[in-house]
Amino acid sequence: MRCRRWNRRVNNRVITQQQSEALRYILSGILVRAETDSVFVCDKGGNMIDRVSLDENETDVTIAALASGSFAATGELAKIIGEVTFRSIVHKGDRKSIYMQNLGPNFLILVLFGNKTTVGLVKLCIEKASKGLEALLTKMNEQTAQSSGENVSFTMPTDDQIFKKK
Amino acid sequence: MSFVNFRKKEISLKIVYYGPGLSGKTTNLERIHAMMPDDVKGKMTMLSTKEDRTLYFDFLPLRSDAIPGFISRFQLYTVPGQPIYDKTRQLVLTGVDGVVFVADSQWEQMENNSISFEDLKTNLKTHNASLENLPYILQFNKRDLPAIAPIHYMDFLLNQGDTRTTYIDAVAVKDIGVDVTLNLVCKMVTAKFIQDNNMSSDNLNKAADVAVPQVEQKSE
Repeated sequence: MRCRRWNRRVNNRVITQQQSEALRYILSGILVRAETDSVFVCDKGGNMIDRVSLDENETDVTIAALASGSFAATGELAKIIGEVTFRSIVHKGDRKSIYMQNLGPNFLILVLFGNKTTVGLVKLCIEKASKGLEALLTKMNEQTAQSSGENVSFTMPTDDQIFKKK
Repeated sequence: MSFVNFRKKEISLKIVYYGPGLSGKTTNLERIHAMMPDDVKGKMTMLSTKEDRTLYFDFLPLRSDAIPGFISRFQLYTVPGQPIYDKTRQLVLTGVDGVVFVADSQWEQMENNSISFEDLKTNLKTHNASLENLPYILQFNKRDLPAIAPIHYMDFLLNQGDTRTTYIDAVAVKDIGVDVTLNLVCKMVTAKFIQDNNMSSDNLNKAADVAVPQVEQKSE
């Protein structure tokens, strides 16, 4: 018996090389001015869009997944008390803290910072950059691989096993 | 919702393991984490209660070079199966690209399987998604236990109509069927991504071959 074909319903986001560089330029500005450790942009499904960081490592994808989960859970709390959503969340630690803020309906900015800066300065730097960030992310949100102008053709893997056991 | 970063040459794809409580969703991820080489897997994160029941979700990132020229990042999530966590399941489905429905083969769990499957369809609707346009497969887990329903009964119960798909029988605690499930769902999600993003008819035809897999029982 044959199975059904999927309806062709494009369900993705694309960031071009040029947009990614523009995004990193804005994020670097926040990183330097607010004296933070890392600045991430992720979507609310948990995908890391891009980040600038003093040290890059593989746990970044986990941070993005957990941050979007945490923001979503807190958003439900907001609804229970009659708010549409919370605009931002701060998790304060002894040495490291995290600040998260909505960037439009689909994205989050996430800042990791230590004791040499303050939440106020982080917020101020994001506020100054938010217009440019939201414009860039809106454009990115509306494009597909074809409309992005990137010349690429994706091909199917030849191996039946994408993941092989060790 | 898949995400392509052309600067980093990366594609992110989200797969959610769904199903009733204690059907083996977390076990699937744990076994995948144990069997994958270090250069393929990231840190596994489990948000559990002190009784080891999933409270929010489990998360396991995997990377591969499945699509030539790009790093494919498959983000595997589970949902909490307990009925009270309905809102959480809805949130975890945000931006999902593929689903594995893990059904418990024990007779006494058939009603819970059906409830959870309906719950999946309802929660997908809240994201304007449906099984008609989402790659998904069924895993009939715990096939080693006594008092289990026959495969054809579970197929009849859960695998009907326009959304009929492939099923795999499994014993996740013994690694049976786990990697077959993973590879199949990853390949289907990759095929859907290529269908959505390619204009080349050659590539579309190759992806369509995966988009219409035979409905058959697969196991190791």
